Amino acid sequence: MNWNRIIFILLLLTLIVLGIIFYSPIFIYLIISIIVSYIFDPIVSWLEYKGMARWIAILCVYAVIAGLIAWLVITYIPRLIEQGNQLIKFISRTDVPLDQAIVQLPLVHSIYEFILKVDQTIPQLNLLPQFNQLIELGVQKLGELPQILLSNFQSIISTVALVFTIPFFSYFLLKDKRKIRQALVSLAPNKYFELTLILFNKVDENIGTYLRAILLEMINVGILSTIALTIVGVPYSIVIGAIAGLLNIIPYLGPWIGGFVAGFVILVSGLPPIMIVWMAMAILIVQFLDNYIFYPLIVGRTIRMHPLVVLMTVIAGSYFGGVIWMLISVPLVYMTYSLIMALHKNLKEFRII
Amino acid sequence: MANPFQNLFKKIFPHKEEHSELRNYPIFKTLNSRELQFVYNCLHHREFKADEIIFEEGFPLEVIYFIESGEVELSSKKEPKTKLILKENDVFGLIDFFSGQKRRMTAKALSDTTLLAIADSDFEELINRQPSLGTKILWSCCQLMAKTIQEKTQVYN
Repeated sequence: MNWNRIIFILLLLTLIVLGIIFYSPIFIYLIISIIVSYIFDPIVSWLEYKGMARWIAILCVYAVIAGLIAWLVITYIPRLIEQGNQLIKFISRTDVPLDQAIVQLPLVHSIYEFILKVDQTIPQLNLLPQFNQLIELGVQKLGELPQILLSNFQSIISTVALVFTIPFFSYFLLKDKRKIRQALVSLAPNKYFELTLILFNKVDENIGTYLRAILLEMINVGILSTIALTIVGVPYSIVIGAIAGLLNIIPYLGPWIGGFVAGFVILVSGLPPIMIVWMAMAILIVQFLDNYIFYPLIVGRTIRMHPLVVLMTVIAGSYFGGVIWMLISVPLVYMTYSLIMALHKNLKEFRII
Repeated sequence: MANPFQNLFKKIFPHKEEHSELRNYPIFKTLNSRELQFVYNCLHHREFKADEIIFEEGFPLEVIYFIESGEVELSSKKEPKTKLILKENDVFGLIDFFSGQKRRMTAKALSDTTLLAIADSDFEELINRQPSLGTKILWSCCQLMAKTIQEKTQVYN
């Protein structure tokens, strides 16, 4: 090992570290842009193969997406906000304290009376104070909800600002996709060239399919749930549908959590508890349609991950960074897993390990 | 006789064909400039020093190489007698691409060599996604193989 080489590598490493520190504020923007570019890439490539210049194809896709978003904003968002406001108004109303309001709800009230009766017959049990404590805790969390929304106002604003920079980033990522890949592969030494190239292609393909699958699934389940819940007559169906769609990122568990949210809303809004059964049936039908008809149609192949692994991932994610990490952790783990599998297979085939 | 307007037009819009050097390879000979651009987008430039091994026998088959300059020797441990020496504008890995999953030979650079490489998945996509481009490439591949077979049979006859 000669010294010049070591010094050069050390310098390079320092530069990389400095670069990471310097560019770290925009990492999240970059990652979102990469996701966006992955989602649009098949359409752009298809248009390109049909004979359109790549940059024109990208602009066309952008125009269509902008139109779609504008249409959605005009038709969908006011209702979403209205329903959200109603929900928040219910939670934060001041005429009756919320814990009393909840106790007055028919189902909760019957449970309350039941526990009262149990306590009277078995005096040592003391269930009632615990039940009250539980309700108080729930109320406290619920009361924090509008505050969370308000205190995150700034980050909501910066998210809006982000929306305007991401199209620029992803435009260049889309346009120069091949050049970027050529540049990255050219960094690999000759010995690892074939390996790098294959890994690049495989990981690229896997991540692309997976991200597109997630997005289509989210939209699909969101729309289907909204329709189903509206038919059943659950209030705030659009909000719940959107939440159910978002939660569908988490395989196996997501639909359940969505169901719990819907059930909670039914209880809170004082509808007859039998509605929960109808709601559960609606969600089951949506899941059935999605799993056996739409998913195979859209994605073609299923992504297998053991339920236990999913459960552990989601719980660990929630400890690590709350709701957002709960949602991203499963895709993240899946992508890491597929990368490791591809790496292992190819390293073995090229007799490197 | 050249039309003065045409000359003027050519002066205003000088039409330089990009990547026309790719036409030196028999399988890209018939492509038009737009199709060459597609091919070029998937290619990777690699430089190998003399005696450097490009790939070894038994490796998975994932890349097809085109020799831009230099010499490459193909050899096999199973059949030590057969040694192929390939020169500029030759292609290797193409027959394996159609026939199997593993490399049947070891490739070594004899002199300093520049290669153009294309991943077989990219190559396949190129053929599948654009039927006209794909037909041209496959047609050229057939011609190349027919030529090789003819040469071989003449030798054995």
